[in-house]
Parts: sequence; structure tokens; C-alpha cells
Amino acid sequence: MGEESTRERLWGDEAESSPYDTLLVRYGELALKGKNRQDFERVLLARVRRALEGLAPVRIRRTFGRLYVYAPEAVLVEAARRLERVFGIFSFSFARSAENDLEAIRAAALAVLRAEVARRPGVRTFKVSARRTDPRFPMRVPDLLPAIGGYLLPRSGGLRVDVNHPDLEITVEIRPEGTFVYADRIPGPGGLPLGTNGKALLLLSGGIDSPVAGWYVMRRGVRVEAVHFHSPPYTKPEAKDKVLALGRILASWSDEFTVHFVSLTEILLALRESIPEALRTVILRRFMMRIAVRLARERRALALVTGESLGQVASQTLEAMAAIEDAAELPVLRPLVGLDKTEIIERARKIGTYETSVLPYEDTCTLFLPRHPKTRPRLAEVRAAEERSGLDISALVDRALGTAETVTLRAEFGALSSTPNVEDDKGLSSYL
Amino acid sequence: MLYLDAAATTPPWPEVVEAYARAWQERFAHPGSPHELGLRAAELLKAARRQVAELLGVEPEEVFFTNGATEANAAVFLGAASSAPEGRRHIVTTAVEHPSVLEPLARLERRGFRVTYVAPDRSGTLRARDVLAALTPETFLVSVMYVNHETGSIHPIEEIGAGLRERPNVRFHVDAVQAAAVLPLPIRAARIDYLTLSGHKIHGPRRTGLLFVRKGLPPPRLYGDGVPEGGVLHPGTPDVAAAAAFARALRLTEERRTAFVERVRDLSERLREGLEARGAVVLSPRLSRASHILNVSFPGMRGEVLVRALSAHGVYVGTRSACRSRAPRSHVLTAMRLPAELVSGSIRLSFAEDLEPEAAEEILSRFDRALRDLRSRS
Repeated sequence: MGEESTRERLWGDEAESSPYDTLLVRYGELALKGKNRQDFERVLLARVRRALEGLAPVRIRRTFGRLYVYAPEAVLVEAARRLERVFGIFSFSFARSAENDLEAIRAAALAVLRAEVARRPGVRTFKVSARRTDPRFPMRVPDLLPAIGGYLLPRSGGLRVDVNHPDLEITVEIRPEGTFVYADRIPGPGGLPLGTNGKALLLLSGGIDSPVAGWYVMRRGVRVEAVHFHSPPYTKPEAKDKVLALGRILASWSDEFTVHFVSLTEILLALRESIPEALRTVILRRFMMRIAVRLARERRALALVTGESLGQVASQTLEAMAAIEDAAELPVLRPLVGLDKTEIIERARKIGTYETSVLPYEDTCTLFLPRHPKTRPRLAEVRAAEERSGLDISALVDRALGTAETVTLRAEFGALSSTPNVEDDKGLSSYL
Repeated sequence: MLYLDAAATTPPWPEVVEAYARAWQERFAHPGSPHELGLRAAELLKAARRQVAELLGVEPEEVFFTNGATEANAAVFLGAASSAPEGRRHIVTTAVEHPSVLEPLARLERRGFRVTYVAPDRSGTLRARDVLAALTPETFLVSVMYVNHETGSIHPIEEIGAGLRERPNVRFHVDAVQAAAVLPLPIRAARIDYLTLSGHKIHGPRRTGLLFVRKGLPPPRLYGDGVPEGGVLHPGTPDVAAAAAFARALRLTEERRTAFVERVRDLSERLREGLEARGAVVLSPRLSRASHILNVSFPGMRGEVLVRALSAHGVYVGTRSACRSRAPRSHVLTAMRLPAELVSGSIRLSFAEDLEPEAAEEILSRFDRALRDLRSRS
């Protein structure tokens, strides 16, 4: 998705001679109708405004099923980079606008053709396609194509027309609000605009999977906050920086992202005393569920999200899921359950979290926990072990929640980088 | 005092001394310690690495702090040799490299590697096509300095790098120690695999240097099997303050480069004309010379004698590579096939950032006095 396609637009200094003045943004799932559609459009427009905040000069205009972003090309490139991360956008095109007038349309088409030929080496054939939705425009498509194509061909510097497999397709849309000429279609992330589907709480570990799980839920319009469990002093503080870095990447897909850090240390120590080794993993996860549910309620989140898949590790069996979910009083969404690991990694790369996720810091789970946890724990057995342990579960959960630290991270559009810049707050530049 | 020996070493910039002192005092903890102070030291080390990477336009993981350029060069040859592909034991370099390149190469020759030394022409100019022509199917490494330390000759590393694009499995090392002060370092554009820098040639501390190793190549190491932690090549407690000071020196060098180059070009031209008028032969190439190094020879005089005579008048110049000054003859000038008389009469003027072009007159008048001293004695 996205990133590369806009980056290609940054080639060199050609922006100066670039013909583009508009970003034509397409959105909307076809299935959306009526009230849902109105909500969708209203929220999407707000998301787009927010994403483009601070970019000047930009004008946004909405028409039926379309948004237009008007700006000089240098600004459009940055705008496109940001819109590639706005859920609800299906695709966009860099377009040249023109009056609904044949001469103006021809000139615009020629400008686009020339710019694209300069930009893409090896273009030898092209075709023109046209769409007319402005009934006042005097020509119909079958007459338009030869009128535009016939104008371009002798001025194309030796290109040939190929209507079946052209190297370059110039599309002309003549609409009541004006004509738009473009040559490519860059995919957006799709999905629904954030905020149209409530809020959920993600259990964010710092590994590869959970950020991806959060992203999939966000893409369905759900606002997501995260809880990260750590166990100081047994875990390294760097692990926290890593989670913050992941949070910042997820923030670039929304505009802010909140992470709650909760310490599991006391619970881990208590489990070591009173729970048989083979069941510690599943019972620890039950505690995570209980804590997450409490946090979710406080934050008005309606569901939990985990990066669980099936069969990846010992705790990811259907039996284990049942035993864990038993302690969660909210729906647990597991968007990765249908994906293979390679698909998850591929998605993580596209989201931008992969490089950060693979940084080597052990998280909570590797401490105190058995090397050979029970892979198919029976629910009855797990519940019995909890009861027999004499642990004061609700007190442990309360005290864990008492350790919560909340950090809200903002998207940094300047550099969509995964490097945390917390160092800058610590006066490091005074040495460098 | 007129210090004209910047190619030997540069005076430290006060900002760099300040960075070093403060970082040493305030972030003295071992960056490997897991406590707060250790973490703060590690943080600074990481930030220094990132800043250096940004200045060079590369990734932080490609940057390694070393105990100087000599160590960095040694690591390149050691590493490249131990990871050389089966059956490829040929290295191409130039006859005018710094001893810190030539000495490890001589060791490799004793271990059965073959080394071709490409010579520049009489003007000191090295041709890219001569370097590329020396490549054989067995070549696995090409090592060419960017700016020669004795003559200031700029070597065509971009052209060599472009030629090497056709030979992706030949690695390219560039010793850029004398270039950093005056030239941007086109690491990606010149397809460089290894690059060496020195801190004290850019007003930083001694015993600091940098080795760039392109991602995908084995990480450098001196001995043992460990990967250098935090990007510090030398085993032992990492010198965080030195890394910070190096990063600052490099940043200031970048910031001041354009203005410096302009000033030094002016100064260097005035001196060249003035010294030629006093009978000196310019040994630095006319074209493609880094203007902060000017090598001239007074025929019939011995360079080191002139150095001492100038010193008596408060002008401090160099003779070839300072660390080799006691060796009988400059290998650089010899490789240029210059007459012995010119070689032994050679002195090197090299300029640091603090000299104004107007200093030329004062320098020339002190030259006159020194020359008079010598002539009255002979």
C-alpha cells in the first residue's frame, strides 16, 4: 500500500513541471446506504481535515462519492502520503483539473501525458478513456475519445495507441464540477473511517502480531487504545520504548494513540507461589483479561482485541482460548485468526510496525513462565486451580490497575518514522 | 602562531571539547549497565550514532565508532580478508594510500593475497580507468582514498564507484580521512561499502574515528566473535563522551564546510602564487585538488630543514605523513615518479578552519625570512 507509490512521486525536481493540482479521493463501500453513508461521509471528511492539518495551502471539497483536495503538487505529495493512512479511502489519483471545454481538456491531457512519459521510463503505448457525467457537455464519449486521442497522438513524441494493454492510460472525467485528467490510481487503506464503530482495547505486547491485530480493528472504523503489560524490574525499560514506538506508528494511522502500561510483577510473583507450573501461562492470561476488561470499562471500550492466532504457540489452542476468554467479560476480537504468520509479517511491514516489532527485548511472558505450558488446559481444571490457590483475585487486579501509567502518543507526520524521539526530551542535543 | 599542519592533526574546537567534557562528566556510566545512569549513557551513545548516520545519509546500524581511522582501516582489511569469497584473493588499491592502509595490505600480501598498487600520474592525478583496469576476476576489494594526505589530490571515487556497479561482488573501501573537512561524502552515490573517517582531522578528539559498513556486509570486528555493541568497534568499556564529541565535530564540520572551503581556496591560491614566485615547485595537482592541502618543493633544499627553519619563525608546516616523517622518502611523491630532488625538498602546507585568507601575506613574509636564514648559511 501506499508508501512506495507516493514516494515515487517525489522523484527529483520534476514537481516543478508537474501538471497536477488536485488529489481526487475515492471512498465508500458500495454497501453503505442511507444514514450509515451520511455518518461515514461526515466522519471521513473530519478525518481527512485532521490528517491534512497544518498543510497549506489546501482546499478540500466534497461531492457525491468523492473528495477533492486542491493544492500545489509539492503539497499534494505530502497530502497523499497522509491520506494513504486514512481509513475509509479506497483510492486516490493525482489529477489535473480543467474547465469543461474541449480545448482546455486537450491541454490538460497533454500536460498529464508529457509528465507521465517523463516520469516513467519505457512508456511506448497509451490510450485515452473518458467518462462524462455532466449532461451539459456537448460531446459524448464515443466522440470525445478520438477528439482527445487524435490531439495527443501527434504530440506524444512517438507513442502508439494500444487500447488493450497500454503502458499509460489517460483518464478524462467530465463532471458537473469540472474535468479531471489523471493517469494512475493509488490504493488507499480501505475500510471505514475511524470513529464510526466505537472503541476497543488492544492487548499490545511488542511482538509482531498485536499491532497488526489493532490495525485490522482500526480499519473497521474502531478507535483503539492499548494496554501493555510489563513486569519491572524484571523487564527492561527499553521494552517500554519499543511499545511507545509501536504506539506512535499506530498513531500515524489515527492521529493519536493511547497506551496504558500495567505492571504484572506482583501477579507473576503470586502465581509462582500458588499455581502449578503448567497452568501459570493460562492463568496469567486470565489475569490480563480481567485487568483489560476493567480498563476497557473505564475507557468506554466495548471489546478487547488480541493478536492471537491459532496454533502459533502453546497458548494458542482452542482449549486455551476458551480457558482464557472465560475470564473476559467482554467480546474478544482476534482479527488474525485466519492469517498465516507470513501474511501477518507482510501486513506488519506495510503498516510499518515490523522493523520495530522485531527488536529483541523479552517481554513479560518469558519470565517465570514454564518452558512447557499445558497446551490443552481444561477450563474446569483451570478454574479449580485458581480457587485452590487462595489468591485474592480482585485485590490483585485492583493493585495492578493502580500501577497503570497512561501515555497518549500523537502522529508525527513530519517523519512517519518508528524511531522514538523521547531522547529529544532528555537534552541529548546539548551534547551533540 | 601560524599552524599549517592541519592534515597531521587539527586543533580541537572549543564546542567539541565542551561536549566531550560534559558528556564524560554527566554521562560517565557504563552504557551496558542496566540501571538508570547506564541507560542514560546508552541513550547518548545511540543518539550520537544516529546523528552521525543522518549527517552521512546512511542508517545508524551501518555506523561504527572506532579508536581512530587506523583501527577502522585495519578492521576493513581484516574483515574483508576473512570474509573474502573462495578463490578470490586479489585487492586493488593505489600506490599513494596512507600507511594505515598500506601496512595491513602488506600483511595480507604475506598471507598470500595479491595486491595491485595503481599509481597516479606525474601531476598526482589518479585515473578511475586505471583503477578499474586493474580489476581481475579474482578481485574482491578495491580501496581508494578520497583525498591524498600529502598532495591533496582528489581521487575520482564516484567514477570508480560507478564502474564498480557492474561488479557487485567487489567491495569498495574509501579512506575519506582527509576529505571530510572539505567535501561532502557521497556514500550511496559512489556505491561505497566501507568508509573511514578520523575525528582529530575534523577538530575532534584523538582516538576517535568512524567506520561505515554497508548493510548486508558482515559487521566489522577486531578480534573475537562479538558484534560491536552499540556500534563501538573496540572491545572494552565504550567511550560515550568520545562518540558524542565525534558526532558534534562532524556536525560542525558539515555546517562550516561551505564557508571554510571558500576561505581556504582563496588562501591556498594566494600561497601557491606567492611560493611559486619564490622559486617553489607545486607538487599538488593543479586540477582536482582539495584546497586545504598544498604540497610544494624547493629544489635543492631538504624539506625537513625548511620545516625547522619555518618553525623558528612561528610557521608550522608538515613534511608528508607526520607519522612517517622519519622514513627516508615520501612513497606518495615517489609513486608520482618525481625527481629525487623535488621529493626531498617537499613540504606540505595544510590549513585548518581558523585561518583567514589575509594570513597569506604574513605567511609569505615569514617564508622569506626562513629562506633567507637558510640561504645565508649555505
